[in-house]
Amino acid sequence: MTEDQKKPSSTEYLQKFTYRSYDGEFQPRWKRVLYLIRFELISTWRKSKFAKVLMIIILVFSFFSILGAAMVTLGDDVVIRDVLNASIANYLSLSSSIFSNSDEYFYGLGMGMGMGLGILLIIVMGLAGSGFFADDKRGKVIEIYLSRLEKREYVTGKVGAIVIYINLLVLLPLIITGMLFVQSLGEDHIDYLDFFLGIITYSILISIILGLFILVLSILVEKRSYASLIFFLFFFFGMIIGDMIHQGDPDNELLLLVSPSNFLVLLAYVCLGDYDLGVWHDKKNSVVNLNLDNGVSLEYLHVFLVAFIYILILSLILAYKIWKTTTEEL
Amino acid sequence: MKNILVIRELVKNYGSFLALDGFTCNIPKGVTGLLGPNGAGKTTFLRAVLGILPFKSGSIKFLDYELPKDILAVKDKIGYQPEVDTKILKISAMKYVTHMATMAGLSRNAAKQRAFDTLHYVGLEEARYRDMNNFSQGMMQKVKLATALVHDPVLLILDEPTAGCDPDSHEQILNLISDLGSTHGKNILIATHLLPDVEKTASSVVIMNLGKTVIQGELRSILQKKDKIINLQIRVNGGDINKFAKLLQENDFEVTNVAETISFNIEREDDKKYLSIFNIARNNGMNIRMMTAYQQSLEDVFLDEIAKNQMEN
Repeated sequence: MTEDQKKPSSTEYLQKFTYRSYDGEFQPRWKRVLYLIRFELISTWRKSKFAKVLMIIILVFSFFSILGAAMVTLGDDVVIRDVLNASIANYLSLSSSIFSNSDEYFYGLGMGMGMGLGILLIIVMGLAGSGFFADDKRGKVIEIYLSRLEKREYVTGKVGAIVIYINLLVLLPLIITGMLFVQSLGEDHIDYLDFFLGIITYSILISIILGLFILVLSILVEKRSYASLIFFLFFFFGMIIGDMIHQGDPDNELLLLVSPSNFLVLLAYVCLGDYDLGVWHDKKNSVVNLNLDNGVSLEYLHVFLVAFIYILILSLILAYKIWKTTTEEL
Repeated sequence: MKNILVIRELVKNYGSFLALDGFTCNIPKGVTGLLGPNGAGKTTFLRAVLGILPFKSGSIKFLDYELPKDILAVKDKIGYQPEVDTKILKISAMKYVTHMATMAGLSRNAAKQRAFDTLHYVGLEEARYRDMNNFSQGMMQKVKLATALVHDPVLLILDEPTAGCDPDSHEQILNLISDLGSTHGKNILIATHLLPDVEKTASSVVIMNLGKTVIQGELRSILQKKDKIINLQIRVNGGDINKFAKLLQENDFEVTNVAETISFNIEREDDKKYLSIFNIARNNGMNIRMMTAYQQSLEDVFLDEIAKNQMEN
């Protein structure tokens, strides 16, 4: 006997609780997009236990980074800005830093953030965003959404949610840690305004790139687990293959952009306005001088250009998939 | 009767397949049934009205709005219950309906209140905080109906609203549809394969096939619409029923069946023939106890019209 069959009478509730009309106001359309963003953020947290555990680990790591930042004391020879930039830039790196213009990289922030946190962050981002479209497709709710929202509102809500989510994981810890770091060194925050703006620019750019990438995978792949796995494997194997390609021709700086992990690090540096990455050691332990503003080989504009190409291509794929949604997918 | 939807020459194709082939119809106010065999274009038409699928040519007028120009205003005034089960992972019915209410433009507080009201109305007051992914088919249909109703739309579009329901849920949903249509003056368009559902709830019907309108109008007049020939059923006493059937045949009546009653065909307007039936009975010492025209069902009309339409095409 089903729940429905247990009802004593098929019309009893009609008499008990009749239909009431609604004479309230309707919200402007942009508010509906905000409601969608809010809903996605909350339901993302609710859906995956594994993501929750990873998030807690990340928060603990971040806490120690913040603690480290608050307690840090640097030697006189250390350029504070270099330490800060290196720490921020390697936040999402999957490997230990290969670009660092300061030997003091492992001070403070770098200690907490450069050692493996990138892997966890990439996994959490993948888990969070991979269900945004895949779950809607499997749950057949796209049709319901599109009966109430325009396609562009629906997509904006999804993109907005993943961008905010990634910023919660990236922008918030980096800003707080950066501020504490500056505070602990007795520096004036105003002097570091461009540094904070750099963090914001970087965070917004990578949240758009990574967010769009996750969403494209989510709409192309039916299952959220596959989408998040592909997302992680892309970064993991992309890093390995990218490094191998670069090792094949180490003098070609442009090949540094092949590895997604390196690209994110370089993007952070250029967003922070740090173009002279100084002397670093490549995998063969040969000394390399990487300057992104010397008119030779890899330039900071190349990094921005690649970022915008990523955004353009991913946006076009996403738009195409949504606008060409087939009846079977609805 | 003022029409709530006026559709003219609607064309929609998927590649070389023509899903809507100049579909034209008027959907009057009240409850209307949209009938058609699989692949007739019903769901495509509904999605075109909702602005989910763009159409190639033709026009859709909803009240005073033109589609696709006024689609945003139209979306707020239509509540849609899709055929498929819609699910979001790990969510209660209350949260789901509340969320969909905010998507329809209600504020958070209003959405919660309306979700509570509509879930109560459809009979899910006790189950509203349970994970809807564990609901039975009947309960899912009610959640979808509550979702369609939550923003108090002018027009409800229900695609197979009773599909998969057990008999009790089925009856409950039909009662809800009737209540919404008759008591609360809701305009409802029901697309379904279950013709008795339409007979029970709708006042008008549109039958479509191969992307075109086959027949449309008030249900009562469609059921009465018959050919010149009608089928009469009579029962006699005071004599042998087989003998009476034979007498009818001798008098040029086309007898189709003899059992407890005699069924035979007669021209609708032929008064002399009607009179002769009574004369035959009286002359043979029999009394006619019952004479009734065979009441065709919507299913008869549907099957006839679809068969005719397919022969024409």
